[in-house]
Amino acid sequence: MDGVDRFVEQLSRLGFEVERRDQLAVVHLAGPSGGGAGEAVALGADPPNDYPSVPPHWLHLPAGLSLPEGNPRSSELGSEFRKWSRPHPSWVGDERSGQRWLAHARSLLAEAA
Amino acid sequence: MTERSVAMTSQIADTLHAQLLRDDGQEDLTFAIWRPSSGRHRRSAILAEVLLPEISDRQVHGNASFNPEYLLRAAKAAAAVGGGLAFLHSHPGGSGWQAMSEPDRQAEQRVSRLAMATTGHPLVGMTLAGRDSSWSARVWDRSGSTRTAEASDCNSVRVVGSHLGVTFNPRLSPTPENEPTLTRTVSAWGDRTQANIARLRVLVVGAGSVGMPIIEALAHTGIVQITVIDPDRVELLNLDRLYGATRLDAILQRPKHRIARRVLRRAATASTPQHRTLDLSVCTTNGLDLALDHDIIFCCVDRPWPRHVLNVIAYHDLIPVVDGGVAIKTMPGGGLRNAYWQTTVARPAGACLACAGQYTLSDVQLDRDGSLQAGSYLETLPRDHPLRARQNVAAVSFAAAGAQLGHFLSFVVNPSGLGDPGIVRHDLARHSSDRTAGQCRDGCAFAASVGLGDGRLDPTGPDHAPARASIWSTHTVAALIRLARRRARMRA
Repeated sequence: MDGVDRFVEQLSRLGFEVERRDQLAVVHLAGPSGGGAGEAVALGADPPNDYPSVPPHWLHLPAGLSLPEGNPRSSELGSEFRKWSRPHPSWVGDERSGQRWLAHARSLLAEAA
Repeated sequence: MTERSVAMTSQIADTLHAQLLRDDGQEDLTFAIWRPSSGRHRRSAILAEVLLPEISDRQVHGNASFNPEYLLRAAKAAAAVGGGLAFLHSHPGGSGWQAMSEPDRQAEQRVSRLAMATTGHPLVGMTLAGRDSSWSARVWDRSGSTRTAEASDCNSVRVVGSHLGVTFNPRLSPTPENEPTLTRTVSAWGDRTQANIARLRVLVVGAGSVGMPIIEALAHTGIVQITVIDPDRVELLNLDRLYGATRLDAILQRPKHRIARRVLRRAATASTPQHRTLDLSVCTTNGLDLALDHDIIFCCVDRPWPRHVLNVIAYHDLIPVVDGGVAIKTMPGGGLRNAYWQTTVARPAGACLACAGQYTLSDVQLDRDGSLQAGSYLETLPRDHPLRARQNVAAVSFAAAGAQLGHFLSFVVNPSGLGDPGIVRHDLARHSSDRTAGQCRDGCAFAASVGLGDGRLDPTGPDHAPARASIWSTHTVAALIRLARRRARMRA
């Protein structure tokens, strides 16, 4: 089992549908406000091999969404996505890391426009 | 040939003491679970859990004996967690490394068959000497096609707590001879302490401005086995603080580990030093494997990924890491506001490097995937972001190195029994030092997963060091010509 598998397992246990695409995972998440409010948005992450000990820092968003402070890069998920480096501010790597990542992703989604 | 060692936390050691060293002076015994930690040349057994006997499990009659049900139960418990079985007993009147009596040998050999059959791992036999709390250990392995296991002595047993206690096998790790050059050192702490320090296997990760003075001091101290790893090369920008490096080293972009080799050769006082330096990153599989062959590690790097790898080793493989960090604060219009250096020892029941603030877990993947090497990424960070900090000064680096060495001495020599001082932060402007108890935050995953050994999540990855410039660049040739002209003028 690698880091992506552990990431998928943690989010799946929380009731989310998570799809593995090579070394990335894609989950559908609705943001509380902002650009992703209301409808579920496909988000991608590339958990490292030792996840949850170390978190992913790239968040892959649909190309139509942008985060403040900019600096997107092209995503391995294809042209429909762009990736943004937004490291988690206070990571703890344990069985609840999936929840922490989701909370972080939701807060970023709330800022997206 | 693969060497063997055993490691345990002081918590486990205390539990074993309480069980094995009886008030009535008789022998006693217990079983325990161990996990493997496999280095390049050394396999260690990390004691993970003590399986204390219940009242009916053993009999004490001068010696001690156990009932088969206890052995079975312990072996199954070890197998259930993928660990091996250890069998421990005491020699209350003994001191130093203990040899096995013939009854001891026969008992352990019998246990070893079931241990291997049930757990798939060899039995580790251990003895606690009652007079000075020394440990001895052996591994019962089958070699070749023999059906009977034979005991192979371990080189050492280390106990990691508020100080590092190591019992060395006097046959496999004999006390080194003290050269006359070590007279003053030995007079500071005595022959026994010198013998223990000299036999430690010390790894220094990073031969930069903090690492190089440390490397020299360790060699001066008579430590026999010192390994230095660093994948970087000397650049002109390093010369304002890289001890031992010359302008020619920078022009030729010599590997820093070769400068370290020069420093070690000049400073060594051990009669037969076994010092080596390698162009290697601890972030690679080979680097991690090599690190696991050591008893204590100095972290002299300033990047999050290698710090993380060493943090993992400190907690999962019980190899303490003496870490130091430097921060220089400048004023907006120029000028020095202050400089700080902080030292700590990463070890179970202390503060891990993440909880001590020496690195941030979220920055590890940034380092690992090359983002920190990409100038364009760093430019997006605020100017005062720690990852952008590049200021350093020779005097501050030397002070930090001194502080790390002092921390090492507290941890290893244990003056006045005070051991590890915790997290120590030095403030240059105020000339003050601040100590806080080294403890992990509640919920720290490292503190909760001590002694996993080979079961650790792999923190290594492919080395992505930026491509090194050819030494025959135009810049290099021009610098060589200038140097040659300057030397010619000096000779004229």
